[in-house]
Amino acid sequence: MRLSVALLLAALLRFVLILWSFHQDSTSSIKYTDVDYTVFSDAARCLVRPSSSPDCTLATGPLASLPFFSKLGDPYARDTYRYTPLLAILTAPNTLLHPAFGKVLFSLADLLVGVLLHSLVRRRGVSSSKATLYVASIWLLNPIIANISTRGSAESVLGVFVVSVLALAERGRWNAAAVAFGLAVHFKIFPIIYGSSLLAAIGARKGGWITSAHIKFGLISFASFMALNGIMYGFWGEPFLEHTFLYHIHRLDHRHNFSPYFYSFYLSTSSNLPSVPWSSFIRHPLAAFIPQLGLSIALGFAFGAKDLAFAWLVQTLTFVTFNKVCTSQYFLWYLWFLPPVLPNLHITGRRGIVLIAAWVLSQALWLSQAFQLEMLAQPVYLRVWAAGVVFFGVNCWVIVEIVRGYRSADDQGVVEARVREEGKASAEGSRIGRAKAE
Amino acid sequence: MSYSAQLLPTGGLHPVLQLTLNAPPSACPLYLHLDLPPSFIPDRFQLAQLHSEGRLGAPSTSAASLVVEGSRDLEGPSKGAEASGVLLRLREGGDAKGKGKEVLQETFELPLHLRYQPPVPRRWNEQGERVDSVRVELGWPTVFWACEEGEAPPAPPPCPLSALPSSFSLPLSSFTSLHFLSPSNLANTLTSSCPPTLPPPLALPVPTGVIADLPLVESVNVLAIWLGMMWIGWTAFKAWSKDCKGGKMKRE
Repeated sequence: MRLSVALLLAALLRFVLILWSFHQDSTSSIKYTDVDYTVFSDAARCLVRPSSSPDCTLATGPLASLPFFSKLGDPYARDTYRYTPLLAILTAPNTLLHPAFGKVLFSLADLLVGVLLHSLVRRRGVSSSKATLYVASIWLLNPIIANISTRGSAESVLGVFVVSVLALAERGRWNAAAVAFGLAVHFKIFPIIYGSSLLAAIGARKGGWITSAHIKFGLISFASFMALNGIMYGFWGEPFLEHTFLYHIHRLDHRHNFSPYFYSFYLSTSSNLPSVPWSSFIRHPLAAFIPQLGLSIALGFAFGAKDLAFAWLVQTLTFVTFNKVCTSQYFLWYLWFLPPVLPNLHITGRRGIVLIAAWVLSQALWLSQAFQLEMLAQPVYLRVWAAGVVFFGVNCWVIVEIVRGYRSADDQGVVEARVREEGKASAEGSRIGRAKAE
Repeated sequence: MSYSAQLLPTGGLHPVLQLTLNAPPSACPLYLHLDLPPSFIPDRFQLAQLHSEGRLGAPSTSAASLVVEGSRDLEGPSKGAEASGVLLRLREGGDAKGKGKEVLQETFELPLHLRYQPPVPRRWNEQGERVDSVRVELGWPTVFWACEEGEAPPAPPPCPLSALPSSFSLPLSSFTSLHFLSPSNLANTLTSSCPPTLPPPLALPVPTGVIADLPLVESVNVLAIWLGMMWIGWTAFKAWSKDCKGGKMKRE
């Protein structure tokens, strides 16, 4: 299949789903559109039309007091808006043009991610039609991806930034990659973990660990990140820092989610807690970060020099698996790395099916328990937690199998060379044996 | 002229308050007022959307069309949360006759959400009964007509604005009198009390966590996280070492 055909089909799929969202939202009590989209839209409305609702307020940053910006609204007036103002700016046309603008934007971002992924796969020597197959099946025509974007999730916008960094880095355009990296980290904090693999990749290409190339990359990405932060803080002040960054560092999600941490966070809201050894350490908000960040960053140093896409795949899988909170949306964060890594993944079909089945079934197990809790109000917190532990274990297994199954192009060359050497040695041994016999 | 209320059993942690109304049209708008204890979350944005779509009450440009006061925390647990209140316009006024003989029956469904309740110490009591589910109560809503000076009042006798039992100040100052409907157990009684006596609170069972689980949960979490980390770390280390050796072999 040609990429243009896949893109056309993907666009059509998303167009139909957006039309369907209008129908379901207006006729059913179960909305198609995600609650988060309502949050973005409300925040965007507060931003561009603060007088439209008594809940909206004006921006409170130092630059907002300038006459030209006196009517600039505050997206953080919207409860639970915990994103950069950039997202509210991107979805401002929801108020100015049409409420579905954001969904169209996110769908276009999906397509752009698909184009970038296709070029990444092609750089690995894969034919165009096979690259299209990988990208179409995993991303463009994946109904889950299309559903997430058309429901109004903005993850694909992050995908554009992250995959752009990858594409630029693989082309050796390090300055542009640094600018995009700063933008990605501003949009969502977690891409900071890719810093270790980027440094490793630069080191592999330029030689050494602390070179002028490393310093230049660090300075440009930091400048890009801080420039955006400076602008946002200038207009929106403390609420920007609190909701975009600080909230995510200190958050303890006590409501059920895939992460096994939720139940301990919920129980810890009580007083008179029973103690276990090292209680104060275990219960500290930062305790979860040590295994998560330590492992994610170490994986970047280990594999970044060899293959950035593979490093980012395992880093993100690890980050999501060990995170204090885990929801289905987070799965997208590593899914977009699968197409460029697939050509180098040597996992047998049978093992692949077993892994996928385990991953799906462990999710289904968790969902079955969570349904009983949330929709039937059954006291099954312990079972939801246990299912979360099982899901965590399965994800660890998936990561281990991906690491074991990965063969870079260099590795494949070495294996072939070893096979040839062993073949030669065997042939030489046979020749000598025959000569002796004669 | 009466109303009844119930919490629908099908919502789980997202109960729905169903209000069934039997009342004639009136020149005065009809309101619902509900005080919510901290266990409940009224999502003001969800209610505003339903209201603006005409799927919950009668929207208008008036400030008193839908008011949600109190806690703005949409996520936090019950411990430390604040109470909230909802004022909702159910019907517009406008029947010039005021005392229409036709009684209209309508049903309204107000979606609510439950916070996680404070965990209980144990799962079983000494009698062997499960106690990890608590009973959460919700007071009956109050339904009333709010009339301005000169509007033809409905049948129930007038009450002053101060008669409305609310913990919050509500934007009803443009009205001069409130005329309360009676709950259905006082049906056909034009009560003279301001406000009328309400039935016992509505209640529903809500699951809770068990504090006694905490040592097990924390221990298993620590074990799982660190074992998982070591497993992945060791596998990655072996792959990295193999890669280093492979690179050396390639150079040779």
